[in-house]
Amino acid sequence: MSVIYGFLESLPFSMFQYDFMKNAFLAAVLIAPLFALLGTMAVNNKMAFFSDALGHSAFTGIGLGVLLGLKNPILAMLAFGIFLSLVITKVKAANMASSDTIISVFSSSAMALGIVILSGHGGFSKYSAYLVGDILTVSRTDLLVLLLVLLGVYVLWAVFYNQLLLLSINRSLAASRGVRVVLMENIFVIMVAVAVMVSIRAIGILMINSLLILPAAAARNVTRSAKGYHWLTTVFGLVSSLAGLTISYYGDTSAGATMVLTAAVLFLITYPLGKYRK
Amino acid sequence: MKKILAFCLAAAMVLGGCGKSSENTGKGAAETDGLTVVTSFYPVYLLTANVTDGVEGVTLKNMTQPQTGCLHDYELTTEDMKTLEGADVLFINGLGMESFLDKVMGQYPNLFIVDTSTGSVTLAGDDHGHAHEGEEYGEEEANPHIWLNPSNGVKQAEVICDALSQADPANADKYAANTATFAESMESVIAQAEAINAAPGTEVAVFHEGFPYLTDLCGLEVGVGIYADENDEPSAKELAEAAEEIKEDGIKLLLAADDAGMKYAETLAAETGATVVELNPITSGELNKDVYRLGMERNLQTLADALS
Repeated sequence: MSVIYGFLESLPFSMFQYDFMKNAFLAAVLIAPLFALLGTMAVNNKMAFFSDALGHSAFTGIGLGVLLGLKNPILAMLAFGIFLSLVITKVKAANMASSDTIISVFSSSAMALGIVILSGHGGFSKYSAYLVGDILTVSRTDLLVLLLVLLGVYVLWAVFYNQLLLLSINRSLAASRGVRVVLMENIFVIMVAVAVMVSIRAIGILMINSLLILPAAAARNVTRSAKGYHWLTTVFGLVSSLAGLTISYYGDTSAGATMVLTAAVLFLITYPLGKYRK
Repeated sequence: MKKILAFCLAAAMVLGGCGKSSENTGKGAAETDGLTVVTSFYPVYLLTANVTDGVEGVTLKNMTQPQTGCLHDYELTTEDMKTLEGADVLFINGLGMESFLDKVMGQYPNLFIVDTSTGSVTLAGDDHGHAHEGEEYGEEEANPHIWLNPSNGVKQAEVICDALSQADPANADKYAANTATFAESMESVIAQAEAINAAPGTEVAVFHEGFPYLTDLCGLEVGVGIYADENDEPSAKELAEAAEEIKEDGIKLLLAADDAGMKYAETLAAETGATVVELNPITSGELNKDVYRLGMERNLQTLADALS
């Protein structure tokens, strides 16, 4: 850890004289590739709205944590996030209503349930920090958790990449090639749920989905191969997070929101480029 | 699909239900013919409970849940409106703390509302630009967390006593006696604060907007104030400046409550090597009149230990 700190201090940025900025920077470095990887698949599978629903369900997770008397609600958030993502996938597979309707039903129910629990306990304002997030108070333990989740997702990705890709291209095709589609879908949504829940303290419920979707959407504008798409998404994610964090430090603005805006700018730049090339 | 929806609804009911049962002690007491007194939030409840202690025929209710904490951005619930429905008097903290007051006055134009801040010595509000929406009441400058100074607590109790004596003259003597007992118990708290006698110019950093009243009491100066409890996250720049000031001014103690401000105190403690001291803003807890005195004594003891 001290090696990384020393390296950051040697950089010519005055913001790295503060430990909290170093931690925020490292958190961004860990979250960006994590979200980039998952974001590519979420965009391919038209699941942008799904991850948004997951973010909102964090409220219920926090509420359950409060009910259970947990000091840190992360475990309850993780459990509820995984539960909700599996339920949505299951209900969606039944094909009784269009998936945006189903996701909307669960998203709003989860959000409302969370607010009901928290307001019943009179503590809603206490948890409003989760709305906009707070990357500036990330602790070393948080960083370690993020690192473990990132490594876990990379390992799963390496093992299941081909199956996931086939699934995202065509579900029936994947099934005919022996891909266990339900299992793969569940593994993917669980990865998204875990990534969203461990990052939500830092990024915030309102912002988290943009960070998942925007870099991938921007990269998709200008790439042609699946490999290029993944790499460019990771680069875009890193660039927008780190630039956003730096701008927020010198410009005295909210860190999470600035990171999202930088990613939005990337999308706006790549959009006409992609149009032109097509 | 239907089954799952039904499950969600059932879960919502069950969960919502247990949320209520455990903390409903401050409300819903049976209606009586006597005086029904409602307080806007926890500290005002504690002060009023000291005044009405042992007086027959008084039903004292706290409007908001005792776990609410400060009333920033508080939205009235239907339960609150029901509580107000049968109220004879509503005691509020005042100084803009009750931002929902307009709505209450609109609904219950005849309710006897007493602002307990009358006569209290106030400190200037913070310069964060998020005044407590108190503009309508012409008090945008004052810091509303007055109860954290025991002298103000006594003043508030006296206002409560006067109002109750008017509304219920038969028990005026009892209210006066209770208030005198309370004022006496605060004498020792004030003495405890004076005994702290910090070295002149000792600076501390505070992370709760009410704590300047405590530090003022003990002769400490507020070198840095970061108030995060109102959806207002300090920016990186503010934190960096705070870290600089803490180091430059040799600030050793960071006073924080167990709320949103705690994270910032811990972050700055890791940054500067200063120590986090947890104090109680007495905005939530059990509905027991002695909590006010005990909380004050404990805060002062904690401060004295931290300073020595």
